[in-house]
Amino acid sequence: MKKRLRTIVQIIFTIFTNGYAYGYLRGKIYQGNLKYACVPGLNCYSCPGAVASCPLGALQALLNRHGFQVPFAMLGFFFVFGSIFGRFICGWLCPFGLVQDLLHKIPVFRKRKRLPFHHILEYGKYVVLIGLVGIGSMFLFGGFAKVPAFCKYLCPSGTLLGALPLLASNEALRDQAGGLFLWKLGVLSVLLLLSVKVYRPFCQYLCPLGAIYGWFNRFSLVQVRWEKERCISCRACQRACPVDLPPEEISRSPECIRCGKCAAVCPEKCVQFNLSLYNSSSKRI
Amino acid sequence: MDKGREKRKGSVKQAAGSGNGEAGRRKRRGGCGWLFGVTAGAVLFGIGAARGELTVIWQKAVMICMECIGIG
Repeated sequence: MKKRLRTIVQIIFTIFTNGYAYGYLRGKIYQGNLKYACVPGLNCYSCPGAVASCPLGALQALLNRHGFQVPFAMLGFFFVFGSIFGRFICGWLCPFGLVQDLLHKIPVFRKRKRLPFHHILEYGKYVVLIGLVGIGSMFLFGGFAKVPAFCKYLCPSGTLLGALPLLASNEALRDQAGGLFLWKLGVLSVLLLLSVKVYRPFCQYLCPLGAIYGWFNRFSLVQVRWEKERCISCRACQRACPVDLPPEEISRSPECIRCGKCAAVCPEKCVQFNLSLYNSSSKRI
Repeated sequence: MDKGREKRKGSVKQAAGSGNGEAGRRKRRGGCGWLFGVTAGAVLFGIGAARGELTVIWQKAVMICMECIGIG
């Protein structure tokens, strides 16, 4: 039970935030007031079941509409959720993260934690954040209107959670699908196939939301703390870490998704989940 | 003489207790950073809401996003 706690939380949160069953049946999306709010993880708001907005979609909508003006609401959203959770959101609350986790559990291929050239590829998510979410959404036009470049050309969550269920249940939309849909389907297929072998390739190399939340990891409320004095350097935590982080980097690294596997395997319990409350009064969860 | 030594000891204890040094500074910074982030975030969010940004988000979210599903 304790081992599967994270998967259970991920599944419950995914069902909770995508629970608009009527949308799946009719090929429509929820249009109520809950969509004023965003969910913390990558969750396309065009998913027929989505009951709230996608934070990246919302950020791009503001950049599309207001251009060079600062998108205060989404900056505030990222500061609040990032400061409390950091990348705990990626590890525990992101629906697309859950999909990749489940695919990685399929017992085929020899599993890999990282792709070759990881130290170069890991900057891909920052390139996507600046290039597609930022500059792309401010300057790229489709016809007379600006387009959300990340959603249009890359977002696999939109294809998986939005496009596939909608196109399956809505014939009018199915007739309009063309080259762009095939491109997005290709991107999704590559990422899903890669997820079977490599741990969360989209999160590690491409997700702009992970790039944003990663910045908050070093000072967020939810922390994984390593006590150097008690550590016996057995490296069990690094072997268990799905993104191969050494214990000295776990707490501050923007790559740590707070999955808690290091804390579970540590024989000395010197790696632990903590709430980083004021000063040194840390409280164990 | 003794009084002076005790005074020095006291000040050393106080320094250790208040978390001086690199480790202490790091601990303090990490300790309240999240609180500063949440406060700043709440203020920024409030400014955004007052400027009507939530309505822009809602207007986008209640229509099927053609770009998101690979049609637009």
